[in-house]
Formats: sequence, structure tokens, C-alpha cells
Amino acid sequence: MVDLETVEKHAIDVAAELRGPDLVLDADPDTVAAHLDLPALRLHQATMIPPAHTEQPYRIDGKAVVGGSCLVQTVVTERLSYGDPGLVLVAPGPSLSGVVLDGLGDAAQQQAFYRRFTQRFTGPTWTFFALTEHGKGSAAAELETTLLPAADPGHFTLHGTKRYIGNGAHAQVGVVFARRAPGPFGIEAVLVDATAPGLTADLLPTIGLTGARIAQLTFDGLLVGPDMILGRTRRPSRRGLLGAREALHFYRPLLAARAIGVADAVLDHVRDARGWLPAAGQAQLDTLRARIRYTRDRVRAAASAVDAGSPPQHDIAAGKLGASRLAEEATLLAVELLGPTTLLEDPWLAKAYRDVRAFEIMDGVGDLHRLQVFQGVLRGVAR
Amino acid sequence: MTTALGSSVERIRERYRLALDTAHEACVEGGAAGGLVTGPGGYAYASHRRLAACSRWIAVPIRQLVAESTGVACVRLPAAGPEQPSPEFGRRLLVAHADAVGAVARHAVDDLAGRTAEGRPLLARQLVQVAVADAVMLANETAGIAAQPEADAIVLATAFHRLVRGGRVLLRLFGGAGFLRDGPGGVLVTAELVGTLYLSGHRDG
Repeated sequence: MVDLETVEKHAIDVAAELRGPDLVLDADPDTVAAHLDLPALRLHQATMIPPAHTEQPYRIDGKAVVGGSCLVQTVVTERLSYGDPGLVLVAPGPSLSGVVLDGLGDAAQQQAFYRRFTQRFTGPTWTFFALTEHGKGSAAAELETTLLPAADPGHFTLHGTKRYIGNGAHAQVGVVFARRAPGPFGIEAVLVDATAPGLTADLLPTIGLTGARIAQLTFDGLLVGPDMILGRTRRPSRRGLLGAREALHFYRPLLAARAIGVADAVLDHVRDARGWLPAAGQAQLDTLRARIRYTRDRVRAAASAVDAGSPPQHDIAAGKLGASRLAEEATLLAVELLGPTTLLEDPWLAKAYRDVRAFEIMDGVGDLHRLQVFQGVLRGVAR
Repeated sequence: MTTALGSSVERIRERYRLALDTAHEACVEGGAAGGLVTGPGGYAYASHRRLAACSRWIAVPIRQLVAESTGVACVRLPAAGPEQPSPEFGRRLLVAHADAVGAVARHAVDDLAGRTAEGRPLLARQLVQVAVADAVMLANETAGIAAQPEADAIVLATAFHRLVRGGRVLLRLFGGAGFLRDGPGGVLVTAELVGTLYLSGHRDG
């Protein structure tokens, strides 16, 4: 098994290959297939697959990278996002659906799901995580997508609309959260085959991260069999909503890592483009670098705690919020320092300027995370 | 987004386009390339409509997807005149941007009135109310600064940077809808791009 330091150094090396393809993908999201052999994308997928479902591990110097760890994914995601966050987002792999499968799925469901990512399965597999609804955001307990009883006992039909779903326009499989009964424990996590009748995906015109093909998913009677309901043998309080919460706890450090990676890249970009800066500009850059180092340490500590089974929600929230704002501040400062034509003449920075706006919105806007930090203060655990 | 809210965004877009074109009309110097006020590098932003009317000039289109969703395009004019637009043009752009932020704040009130969280309208939350109030106050203040003859290019640039940040805070109220090109985010990003070219060239230090 390869150690984390080696994985990080390797991720830094292979991230460089994402520059170039990132702009091609931004201009035409359909070109993603041309980039799937990049080591960066293969490494990224490998970190998401738990050892029990790994057929051919990704190797660095002959040693296997072990997947499934939040910390390893956080470190790799940050370093690859330095290359490009869009390509990392659009890469095939289990993504958040895998986290839900790991937490709620039974052995047969996990095996069927992860089999899609092995060599024997033909072609890359993208996944989606369909929680968000317009007007409800990521508030899992309030969702309105519904499971209605079907004619066959134990079967349901799925109805409703999910919005802002990453990879939603081209994923083959994904987890959908839907309401079977009133109340928080009436929510189920359902593993859906995107090619099944009753699902329509419409691409949304986003400001940035165009490669991620963020979509609206409309379910109109998609048939759900009992084997598609994750954790169906568990008590209602131990499935559905719990899966969403655990997945989001796992995901937030990764989201923060993406933002940190881009912020770091933007500051290096300014350094390379400008060389010398006036003292005031240099001081602003140095301050952002110090904040990046602090936030990186904090996010990695939170990711370790997730792996240990004790996710510190206030720390995770602070890291996610801090990192997403850092990325926005870095791009705004870069434009101020590099001049008024930068966004027209520097396509890489122009893309980063648009992309980073997504980070704060993804997985709940800042106020929700600020309130989470406040809850930590109330409990006397927030630092 | 409902049709009524969608048309509200279209009205904000139309108002911004009109203000941008009116600024060109008022400030372009006689015989200037393309009948447009150009910024640094000979770049110019204007509505598709105005650009079409100026087509006799050689203008290289610069792809700007977000701006184009708002009906605004960017071109580069090789025969461009002086690089720094007049202060009057900057003032008009700043007012147009502030007007868009204020309009988006009012749009947020309509949009959030129809959304609920934990059984309550989002608009009933203090955090949401103060965010709308902050945006409106910032928009008014910025327009007031732009109207001051003493406000030089550095003051206008600083006011623009504040407005950009305030507009982003406001957009967060819309959640994912704030990240869509055809939503309120599209017009505010367009105003950011336009202001970055024409207003942000002046920086102290």
C-alpha cells in the first residue's frame, strides 16, 4: 500500500496533464471521452473504490493506492483540482453514489454497482447523486420527489424533478432520494439505472463548470423494484436520510479540497503571469496563501475525522465555507492584479473565475454552513 | 422558475442592455471605431443589437457565453481609439450595474417568497432579509457615488469591486439558480465582465 505523501506527490505530477484538456472540455463538454485515459482521472476513480471492490488497483511505484478513504480523496482531489476542478468533477467513477452504496447498500447492491467500474465492464461509468430540488436546495428532509406504490407489491414508481445534478446529463446510474411516506424517515435512497424508461435529463446552462454537464432530472413513473431501494432491510431511521447525511459529510471535505486546489493554482498563476507585484498586491497574495495553508490543514483534519467515523460537522462546515470563499477571493484578486483585459485574454483564468462561483452553492449555501459552525459554538466544540 | 419570474429576469437583462447601449451612444466620440466606446486592448462590450448596427466596422468577436446569454457580446476593434474610456462612460456603467443589483434584489424577494424551508417561507428568515437589505443599500450607495463629479477613476473602480462582491453575496440567496446563465446570475456576471474591462483598470498601488 502506498503512503499518503507519495500519493500526494504523484497527484501533483499528474495534475499538470489536466491543463489544456480543461479548456477543450469547457468549450465542448462532449469531448470528455478523449481524456479518460489521463492518469489523473484514473487515479481519481481509484481513490473512490473501496478495496473490497477493487479489481486492478492503481499503482504508484508498484504499490497499490487504496480507495475509499475521505482523507486520501481529499488530498488527491485538491492536487488534481490544481490542474482543473472541472475535469475532476466530470471524471467517471462512483462519486457520491458510491458513498451511499457503501453506507446503505447490501452486498449484492454494492457488487452490482462497483462491477461497473471494473475492467470487465465495457466503457466508463458516470454516476449522479440526485438530492437537490429547486426551491428546496439540499434540504434532504424537505424533498418532494415521490415514490408511489406500483401495481406489483413492493414496487414503486418515481415522480418528481431534481435540479443541479452533476453529470446528470450523461450518467448511466445514480442514487435518487425520494419520499415514500411523510416525515424524515419516509425518505428512501434508490439506485436508478438512467437508461430506464421514465427518466429525462435536460442540460442546464451554467455559468461555469460546463464540463460537468449539470442537469435537471425529471422522473415520470420510472419503475423502482425492491432491489433498487438501498438499505431496504434496515429500519427507516437507518436508511434514506441517513445515507444522504453521511454522503454529504464525506463529500464536503472533497468540495473544500477542490476550492483549495483552484485557489492555490490561481495564486501561482498570478505569480507566473506578473512576476513582480507592488507591495500591496504582494501582501494580499501572501495573506491568501496563509489562509489556504490554514484551510488545507483544517479540511484534512476533518477528512481524517470522517475516516475515523466521527465527522466534526462544524469543522467540516467551516472548512467548506472557508475554502469556497478563498477560491472566489483568489480569482477576484487575480483579475484585479492582472488587469482589465485578463478575462478576455487569459482563458484559463477566465474559466477559473466562472468555475469557482459554484463551490459555495454546491451542497448548501454559506449561511447553512455558518449556522452549522454556530451550532458547534453552542455545544462548546467549535474552535 | 415560473414564467413570471423568468420574465422578471428578462426585464433586468433588457434594462441592462439598454443602459449599456445608451452609455455608448452618449459617450462615443465622433468617428470612433464601430460607434463603440472601446476599453483597454481595443475591446468593447455592447448589445447584439448595437453591434449589428455597427457591422460596417471590422470587429473580431470574442466568445463570451455568459454575456451572450444576456444579449451582450464582446468584440475587438483593431482600429480602436484611446484605451481609457471617459469617466462619464464609467459612471453610466456603474449605475447600470448597481441598477441590476437592485433589480436582482427585488427579484429575490419575489422568488424567495415562494420557497420554503422547515415549513416557513425563506423570506421570513432574518439572514435572508438582511442579505436583501444589504444588496439594496449597496446598490443605492454605488449609484450615489457614481453621480458625484468628484469621484475619480480610482473611486469608481473601488466602488465597482465592492459591487461585484455584494452582487455575489446576493446571488447566493438563489442557490443553484444563481449559477445559471439564464437566471439572475447571468446578468450580474455580464455586468462584472463589462465593468472589469472598462472600470477596473485603475488600481491604487
